[in-house]
Order: sequence, then structure tokens, then C-alpha cells
Amino acid sequence: MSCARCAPAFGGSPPALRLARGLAAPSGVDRSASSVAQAPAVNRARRLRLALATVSLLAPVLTSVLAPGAAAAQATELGRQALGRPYWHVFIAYALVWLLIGGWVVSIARCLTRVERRLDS
Amino acid sequence: MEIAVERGRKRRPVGSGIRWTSVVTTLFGIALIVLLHWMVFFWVNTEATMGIVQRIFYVHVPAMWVAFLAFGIAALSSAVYLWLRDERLDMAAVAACEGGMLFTTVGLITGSLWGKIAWGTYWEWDPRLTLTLLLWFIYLGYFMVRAATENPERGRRLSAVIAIVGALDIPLIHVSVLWFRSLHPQPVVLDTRQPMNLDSDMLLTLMIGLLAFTVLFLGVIGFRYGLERSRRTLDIRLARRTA
Repeated sequence: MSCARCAPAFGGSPPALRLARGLAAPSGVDRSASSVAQAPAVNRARRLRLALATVSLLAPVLTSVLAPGAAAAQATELGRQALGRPYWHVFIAYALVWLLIGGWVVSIARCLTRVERRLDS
Repeated sequence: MEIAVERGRKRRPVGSGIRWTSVVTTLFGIALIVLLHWMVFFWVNTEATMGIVQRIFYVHVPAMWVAFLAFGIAALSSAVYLWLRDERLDMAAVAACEGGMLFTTVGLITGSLWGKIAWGTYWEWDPRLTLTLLLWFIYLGYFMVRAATENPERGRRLSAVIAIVGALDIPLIHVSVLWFRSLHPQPVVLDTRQPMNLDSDMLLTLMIGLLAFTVLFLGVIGFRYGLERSRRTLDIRLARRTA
């Protein structure tokens, strides 16, 4: 499995993966001298990569089983659109409408009360 | 013009009939608005292409319809005012223009929010949008002229002319999408060239929206007319007292 995709997601190659590829041994350590000590580390890195691959393969399957509606919605263009920012645009639009109309009505009511009080006095 | 008349032993404000009509109309309008919200958020189908954002349609179109109705009432009242010089017509025009300004603002804001999703931009110098903004500025001028003229009678006459001229923009707004290349959608309901392409549930929701906004507008405009009438009565009384 290439790490080109997962590396940016993890903010660069994790130390275990870098070790597995033999790119960077810890500073101050002689690589030839530590080859025997590296073997368990390589095995750990392989296991880690295998686990990551399994999880990434199983995640969509688990999502579709546990939340089928959400998975179906995500699968379509409409679903992606409906689950994103447009909700906020609709709510903001309706909120502004009733804020403006409500403000207008309240201002009329307050002015009317004030003017009639002055007329009565 | 007198604010109160003797009705038996009680002094009742002039226009209380209008006020009660306004109260009943406004309450009916609010009930329709509640129904509209239930329909918009829980009942009507989601549009296939635009998705959830299309629900702005049910306030955007009624708001613009009410704005046009208000400016139409203002223009008609102003024209008759110039002919008969009856102050009540000028008061009706002021009330209608204020409502028209508010609902045009609502239409422009909701249209912008919808446009951001549908077109990718809040504003485009499209013929319909530009003419609507021009309409808003014309009626802003209506209030500025009234406020800036020293002689109130002259201000009323000048603003009446502005109200009539401004209303000429309304048919232009309607046909702008047919005459010019436009981003704005073509008429959906009022297009006579082809059968209506709107789902029956959506059409019913739109009709409820149009009715709700119209009834609410008529109710509130009654209060606004009453306010204008009371203000002028107060001005007359103060002028008499100082004289």
C-alpha cells in the first residue's frame, strides 16, 4: 500500500512507517549495528499498516450497515448538496425574513402607542 | 381631521374600525404563515436539482409579489391623490411604499442567499436583479423627497409622481427575463408559452405562501395607515396649539 495518500492525512510519514521503509533511522544510531534491533520495529510497522488498510476498507461497509440512510445520501450529488451549507442559507433566509417583518411590525406598534399617548395627553 | 369623536359617553379613536379589521387580518395572516412553515419544512417535496435551498422559493416569490402589490397600490393611490388631493390617499401611498420597500429588501436578501448556492455568487448584475435594485432605490428616493422638502404639500406631490414613475419599473422587471439573456429563472407559474412545470405540492405551498404574505401585508398596512393618520392629527393639534 502506498503511503502517498495517508501521509498528508497523518501530517507526514509517522516514525514507524519511516522506519519500515528505512528512510530515517533515529539520529545517533548506527543502522548496520542496529539491524537486529530493527526487526521487531519493522514487524510492528507492517502490522500497523495492515490494520490501517483493514480499517479504511471496512469503514464504508460499517457506515453503510450502521447508518444506511446517511450512506445513501452521501453517495449522491443531491445528498452532498443537501447535507452541506445550503441548510444554513435556508435558515438564515427565513430568519432574516421574520426578523425584518417582525421589526417592522414592532416599530409600527411602538410608534402608534407613542403617538396615541401624546394625542390622549 | 379629528382623532376622536363622541360615541355616546365614550371617546373612541377615529379609525378603530380599520384597527379591528387590521387585527383580525394580521392574526389570520400569522395563522397562514404558521401553516406555510409547516408545509415548507415538513410537507412539501425537496426539489430534485437544487435540493433543500429551493425552499427559499416559498418566501422569495411571495415577498416580491407583495412588494409589487404594495408599489402598485402606492402608484394608484398617488395618481388619485394628484387628481383629488385627498390626504387619505397620500397616507395609503406612504403606508404601501414602506411595506413595498421592506418586502423588496426581503426579496433581494433571500434571492442573494439562494443565488449563492444556485449560481455561486450573492449578486450578479443581471437585468432582473438590477431592475429590482433600481426599484428599491426609486422608492428610497420617494421617502427622501418627502423628508427633504420644506413644504409638506409640495413633498407629497413630488413623491406621488415618483411613486407613479417607480411603478413603471414593475412590468419591466417581469419581462426582463424574457427580453434579455438572464441568469434568473424564467417565470414558472405565469408563463403562458408552455404548460406549468411545477409539482402540485409545490404549487399549493407557493399559493399558501402568496396568500399568507398578502393577508399579513394587508393587516400590517392597516396599522401603518392608522399610524400615519394619528401622526398627522397630532401635527395638526400641535400646530393649532402653537398658533
